[in-house]
Amino acid sequence: MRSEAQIIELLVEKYGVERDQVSPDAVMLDMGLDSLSVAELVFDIEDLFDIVLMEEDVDFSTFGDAVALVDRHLESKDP
Amino acid sequence: MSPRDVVITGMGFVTPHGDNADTVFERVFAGESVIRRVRSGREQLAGDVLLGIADWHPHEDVMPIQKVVMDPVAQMATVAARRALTQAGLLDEERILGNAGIYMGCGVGGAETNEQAYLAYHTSDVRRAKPTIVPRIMPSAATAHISMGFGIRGPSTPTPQRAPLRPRRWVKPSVRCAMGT
Repeated sequence: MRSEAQIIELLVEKYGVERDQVSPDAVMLDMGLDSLSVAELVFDIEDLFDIVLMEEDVDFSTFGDAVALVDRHLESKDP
Repeated sequence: MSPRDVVITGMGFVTPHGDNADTVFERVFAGESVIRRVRSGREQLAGDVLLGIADWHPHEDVMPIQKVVMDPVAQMATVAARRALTQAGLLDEERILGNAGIYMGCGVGGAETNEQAYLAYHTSDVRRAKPTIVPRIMPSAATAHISMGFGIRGPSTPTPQRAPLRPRRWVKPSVRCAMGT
């Protein structure tokens, strides 16, 4: 959960998501993000954490999916 | 009244001179300049710039999530359109708006997004554009958002200032929402 707080902050500040909407099972589309916004979010997260997410690995269906993927990248980058 | 006559029933503004017709025209005809010297805050561009600043707040018309895909020019156009439709009494007239069209004079599109993209490219290591850059920059963005936001489903086009106002082969709508940036 290394990335959780920063991703929540990004969702709240840039994407207008209500903080209490965010939970591990929260579906991105239900939080108001459409497919284009999710694509933008992937780019924002790459910039924020200085990581590169491969298209085939990206599963941002839920908030928990996004956090888990980013945490895996952070772990391999800086164990 | 001839078939060529145009009746203006509502006007909406987002300008440094004000947000309604009375205020804007009063200040313009009084010769009041709103151009100020402003610190750009960007040393890469310039120290000072001369510009007019509009006091506007998109919060009522544009949700935060929409701003992700909307350059400020599209946000301002949406705010101005709502003000014009409100003055015209058309805001809730679904049937009329469904047959209305949008003509918008737009020369550049999302200039701020364009500027930020160039700034990032030339002053950082960023060598890519984000996915939303196209819907934010494209000149038709403002008309598209107004169309979707207010249910205006007739002909919608961002016309260059000197282009004819009636595109060929299109059915001429009886109500038009004319914009300019």
